[in-house]
Amino acid sequence: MVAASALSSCATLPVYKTTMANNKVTVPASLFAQSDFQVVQPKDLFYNIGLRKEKDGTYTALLLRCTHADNQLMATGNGFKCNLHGSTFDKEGQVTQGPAEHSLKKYQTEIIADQIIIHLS
Amino acid sequence: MHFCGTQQLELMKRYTFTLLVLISLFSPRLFAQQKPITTSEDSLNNNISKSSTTIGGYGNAFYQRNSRTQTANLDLERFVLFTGHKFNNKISFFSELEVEDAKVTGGESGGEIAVEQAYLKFNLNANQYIVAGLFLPRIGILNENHLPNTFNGNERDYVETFIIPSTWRELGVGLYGSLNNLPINYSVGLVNGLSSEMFTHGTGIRDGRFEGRNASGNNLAVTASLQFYQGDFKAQVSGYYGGTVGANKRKADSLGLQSGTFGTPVAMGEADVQYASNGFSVKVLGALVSIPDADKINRAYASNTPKTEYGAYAEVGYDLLHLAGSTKNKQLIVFVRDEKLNMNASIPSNGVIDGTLDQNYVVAGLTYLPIRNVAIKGDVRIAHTGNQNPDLIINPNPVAQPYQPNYNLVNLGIALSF
Repeated sequence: MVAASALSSCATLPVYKTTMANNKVTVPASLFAQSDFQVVQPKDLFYNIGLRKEKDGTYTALLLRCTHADNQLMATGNGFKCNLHGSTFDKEGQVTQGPAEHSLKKYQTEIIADQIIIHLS
Repeated sequence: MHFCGTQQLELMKRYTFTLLVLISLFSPRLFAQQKPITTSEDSLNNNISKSSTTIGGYGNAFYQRNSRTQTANLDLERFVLFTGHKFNNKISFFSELEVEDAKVTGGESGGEIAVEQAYLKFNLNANQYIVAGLFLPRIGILNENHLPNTFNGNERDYVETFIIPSTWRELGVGLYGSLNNLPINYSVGLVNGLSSEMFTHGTGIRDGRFEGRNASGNNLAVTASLQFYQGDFKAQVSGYYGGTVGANKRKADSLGLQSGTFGTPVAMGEADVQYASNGFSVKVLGALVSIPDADKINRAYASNTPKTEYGAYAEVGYDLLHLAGSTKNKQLIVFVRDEKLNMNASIPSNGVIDGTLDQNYVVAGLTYLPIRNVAIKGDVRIAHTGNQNPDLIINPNPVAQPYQPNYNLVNLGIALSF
């Protein structure tokens, strides 16, 4: 039972590794067939991006960088956490525990031919 | 020397022009050296790859009434300033400078100024990084995340003060990471060991920490942790194993102690579970310390070092404003925590049992957060310990007041972080 429940929490895993080109990251929409959330790891960015499918079919991309001191965030079961001073954020990128005071940076996204384009600029 | 009006005007124009030229030549260099210090607000606006310096901090102060001594005191317990600098996406520096009890005056006891952390962070990728310098290994809950507005009660829990000697920082290197395929975070570290010579009866292994100052390098320690997340649960196990003798073999042999990397070791294991959802929060933590060569340490230093110590606590809290449907930023948490610790759970044959180190506390109170980073706290700590061992009484009654195993502390205070 523990193993099954552990696997169910892996709905956001594995992390999708990809590359950046022209300040854009491309993610196949097919990743969201089973889950509405995916962690994207662009090579050489040093921060992950949390990509969430909204109910209206659009996508929200969150830069998983703590807004307190720019540390990387790690995904928890219900959001994101910074190991540096303990700030936590929910899956919408809103602060749930300080010392961070600002929500996570969002990137614009668009869908072209079943590919989700995340604009990093 | 006297100038007429026109000549004065010409001279002024010439000097002004020269000054402007000089400013335009040197200003880029000046501004490049004076990078703006950013607050956590400004870091939001920085491009990801730009270097930046951030400043933050935390602090707490409180009033405490002690029913045993019939006295009260107020103290600015801690003020900590953290400074971080991001050189580029791969390398950052983080530090914390701490002042305890507001001031340090030469020749007087009390107060401390200390570097709590100072380390370089090298990002390997978005999920893994290496730290090098003075850092806090991941052991327990508080050691890594100890901002006073994030825990209930004015004082840190005593299990993570005396059994896990938070904040426990040492010099070394560490690797931290998150797995891509499982909801697991991990850490491993190699740091300097403790000093059994500095162990003090009644404070566990706390006084054996070097905390970055002149640490012995002959004896080292390894630490490791695993964290597992699922939904609103988080579980962690961590361990520590290190040598406690920094002396060379000749001196250690003369003291009857085992020297070397892991000679005369201390071992610690810890496990904790946290749950938070719908206004409820639960924390449970247990820790065990083993000092197998305690008899040898006692023979060398007469410190009455125990063989084993243990500590555990369980805390339940509920945000009353969550029930009232209040805005997310405000919280009024009512909590109760039961702490049990014994700093001489077992003693070697040459030790002396001290009942006062067998301790139980119930802490209950309220934590009000008008905003997330500020807390106003009120709590009562009800204490019960074992009785004094008559063999350890130096000043018997009536020279000193008889020991009271039952007493309470009432605390009122404030805490903040930014």
